[in-house]
Amino acid sequence: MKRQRIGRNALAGVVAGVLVAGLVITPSSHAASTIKIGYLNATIGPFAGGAPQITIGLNIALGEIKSKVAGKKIVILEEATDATPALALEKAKKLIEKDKVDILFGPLSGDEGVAIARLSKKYPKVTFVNTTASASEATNREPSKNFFRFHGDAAQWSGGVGEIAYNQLGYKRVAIIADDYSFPYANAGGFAKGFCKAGGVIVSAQWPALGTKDYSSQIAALPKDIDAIYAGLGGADAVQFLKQANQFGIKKPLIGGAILVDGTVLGAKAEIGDAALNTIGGGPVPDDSYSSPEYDKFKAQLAAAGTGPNIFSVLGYISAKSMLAGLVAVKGDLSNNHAKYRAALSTLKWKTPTGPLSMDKNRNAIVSNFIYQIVSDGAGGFKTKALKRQDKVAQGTAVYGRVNSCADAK
Amino acid sequence: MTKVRSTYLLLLAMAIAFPYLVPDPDFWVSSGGSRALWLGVTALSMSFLNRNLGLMSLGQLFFSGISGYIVAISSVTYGVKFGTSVPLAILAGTLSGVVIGFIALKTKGVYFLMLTLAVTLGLYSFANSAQEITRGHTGINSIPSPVIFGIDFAYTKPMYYLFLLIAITIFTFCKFLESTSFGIALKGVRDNEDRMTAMGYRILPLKMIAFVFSALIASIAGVMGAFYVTNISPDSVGLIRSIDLLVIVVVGGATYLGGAFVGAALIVVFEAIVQDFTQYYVAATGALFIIVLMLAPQGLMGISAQFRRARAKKLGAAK
Repeated sequence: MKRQRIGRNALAGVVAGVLVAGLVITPSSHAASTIKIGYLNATIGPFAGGAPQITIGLNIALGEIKSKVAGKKIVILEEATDATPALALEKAKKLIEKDKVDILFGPLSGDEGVAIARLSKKYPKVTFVNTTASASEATNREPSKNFFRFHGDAAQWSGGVGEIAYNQLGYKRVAIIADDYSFPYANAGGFAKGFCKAGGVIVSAQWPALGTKDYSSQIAALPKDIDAIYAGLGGADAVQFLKQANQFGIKKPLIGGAILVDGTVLGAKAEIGDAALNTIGGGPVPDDSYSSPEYDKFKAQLAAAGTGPNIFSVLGYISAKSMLAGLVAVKGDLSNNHAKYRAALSTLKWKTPTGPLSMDKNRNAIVSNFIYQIVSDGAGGFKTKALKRQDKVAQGTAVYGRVNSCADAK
Repeated sequence: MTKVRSTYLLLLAMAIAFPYLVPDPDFWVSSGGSRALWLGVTALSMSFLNRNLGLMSLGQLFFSGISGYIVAISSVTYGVKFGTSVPLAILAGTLSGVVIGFIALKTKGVYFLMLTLAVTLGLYSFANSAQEITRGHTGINSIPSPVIFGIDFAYTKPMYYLFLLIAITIFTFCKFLESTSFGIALKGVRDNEDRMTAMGYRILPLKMIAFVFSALIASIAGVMGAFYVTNISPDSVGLIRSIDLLVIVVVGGATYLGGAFVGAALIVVFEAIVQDFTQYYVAATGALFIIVLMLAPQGLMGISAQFRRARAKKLGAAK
């Protein structure tokens, strides 16, 4: 009996010990000589492929200032998310409450971005800098004074695409097929707004779930009397869709959402055949032939890190560089609830690799947008060809849901 | 009995003093304490069913989801006051238990598990696609916290104590329920349905009451979750969260009421520590799950009984 009790107490002791140890060993040092940046990145789940590219962009920006501002060392604390709002909130709370970060950098995906932008109001002492999340409503609905986005929203990424589709390529009737969440909504909304205004018609729209593996029913349901298909799909979904479109012998030209024609897709030439050829699209990343002193330098930096320009590396770098430029401008002064720092960020202007950047009153960037077309590179692969560069594209006031007809895109 | 009572009193005292004992109270009171209590109450609804009916349900997040979404939609989209929306949400979640129970209670074992899981996944799909109502994958953000008598429950300590009060009330009520003749009849049903039928008990109403009661607990937990997370999205009711709950229940001890809270506390603290060291903390939690199940198949709460049995066996063998 006695031995049994000892054993029981010992086990209870171990469990209690684990719990108590957890509370005690958590680091809580907060030296004034460091600036802590919490970094949320969706390295788990659907964007695991793109997420490390943001880190590359961040590291290039950090390298340029040797991770130091006015003698203060910049410390990055990274947390992994899975593109869901719930986990992003949980991780953000952890970084703020436990690690006591000064700045929160992230997140990656649209819906996470909306959740974090709302959360930022609860933590007025922390400055939030978005990485690549591009849902419109993070900044144009209930804008938060301490949430900054140094790139365009997904509707801005479509700026000018609709007009070109109608005026230049002569598409009158378009069917939409796009992933069912906030980012493609805004992306398609931005397209439809310009397209419908120019005179085009959205004939039908389908919204399969993110991560769909079989698009045959959607492809079969496409109307026959259309001039082009707007495909707002990204990454693995886009490859799958294009592969099946190729098998079904779909001959309609495509209009790509900003993430349709990225490296993943273009690299899968063998699987998707010529389905992607002549696709037009818009986004924050210039075409292959684009050149400017800033862009060439950035491309060389990316090449040294073993990658090239894509949405994640480009926006990751621009966002990180902006966040750090603000710190440099105020010499790392975060006193008075970051007052000086936030003032510097709100009025930040600089020549990014992809053109001039300035900020609007909702702390969303006014930037250049690039419209391009997929053409054959002559060696059996694809490359992008510039159609137009649109400067000073500012965020609109709309928050798009599913755009099922032109009436939804006003 | 007095020993059990003194243990409870000690735990209670520790829980009350908790916010004043921990370092980094900003983090631990909310992301540790409140989170563990919320998950614990959700898990309690699951272990109550398992303990009293021998049924393992993965449908508890359905009820939580219903009530959570109702609170979120009514307060964020329509500006309804909590005095109305919270009771409404809990009522709706509980009543949905009647509907689900009517279907699910006709099955047993793995079929019951699958059916309840299907119901949860149904809500997940609905929440994902009913854009106009649930705002789809984005979910509903900025769920405000209740203000009662001028106390804003968004602040970490008030929320913790509110959650603690809820948890204690529900736990005590579960204990009380089990001691009544109803609770004893339930155990009879769990152990031998045929014999109970032969004795003249009507089985389905008994099971139904227990099931709906567990739906009530889950609905209350759903409201807690909405206030704690301040966001509700389809992932809050998805498969992954359901499995998280199952892990909590099993690690804590699926046949003990207190197991829900022990499991929740262990998982919450374990993840909070491990995520500092590796981004593969979910895998680490899985490993912990396996280790606990290998060493203590009855969960952490079952360890003392396990020792007792091992001891008795040894004594028996010595004779």
